[in-house]
Amino acid sequence: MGALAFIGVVLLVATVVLTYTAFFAWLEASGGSPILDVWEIRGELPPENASIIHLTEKDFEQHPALDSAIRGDNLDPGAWYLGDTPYGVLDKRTIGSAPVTYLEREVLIESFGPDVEARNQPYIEYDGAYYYFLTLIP
Amino acid sequence: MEEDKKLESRNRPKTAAIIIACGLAGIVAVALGLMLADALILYAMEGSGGQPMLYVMERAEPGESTVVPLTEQDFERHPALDAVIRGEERNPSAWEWGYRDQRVVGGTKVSYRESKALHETYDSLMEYEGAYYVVLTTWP
Repeated sequence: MGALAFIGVVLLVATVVLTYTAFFAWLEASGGSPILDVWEIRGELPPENASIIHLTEKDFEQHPALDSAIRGDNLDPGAWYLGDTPYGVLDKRTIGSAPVTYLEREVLIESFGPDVEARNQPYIEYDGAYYYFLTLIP
Repeated sequence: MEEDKKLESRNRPKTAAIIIACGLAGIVAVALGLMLADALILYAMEGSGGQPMLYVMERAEPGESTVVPLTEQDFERHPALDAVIRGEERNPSAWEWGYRDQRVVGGTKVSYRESKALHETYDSLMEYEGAYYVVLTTWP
């Protein structure tokens, strides 16, 4: 009788802890994630002294979100229009966007800019086209 | 009166035993619950089709943090870490992007289990051949 009660209590508390932990893990996961937005620009690009990052296959492999936005499942180009870019007013269009984690966002910024101090945004080049990205935080 | 006292002293060990049993039950239950939740979340994540990544960030200065040296044993135990820091996944970005005192050294795909192990093992600043590294794991 005592042993049964003991097992009962163990199971009850275990269930409560399990539900609680799983619930908070779910809440955390569904709290919304930052969005990576990639834009393509065209025109007289880029100026001579500009910093250009040429994307390699390794870059795409290591940053799956960037891969999916530029040439993967999340590629969804919009129409060209004249608008504000980090380099001035230029012809631009959205290329794709992908959800990223906060950490991935940090890693993307550390890898492909902008320079937080100088506020300098590099040109990202792939296959002859130039891109830049922004990350939106929910 | 005498009998009452005897009864009381006989009951005391029994009460103590019940309290200890309850405490034990509580500890076992909480541990069991946490373990189950951990296993369930890992299972759900593995089935979700997302891809966990391991990134290694290099820091220019160690700052105030405690530094733990990386050994050959670390690289043997975690081939992903080896590949990113000194193998084929090394692909360092320029220091100037983002914050200038750090840069991304590389990254690679890992399993959820590996990601969890890396996250739990390398939670401090690591040092290898004079450079300082932070291990980052991301779960989609």
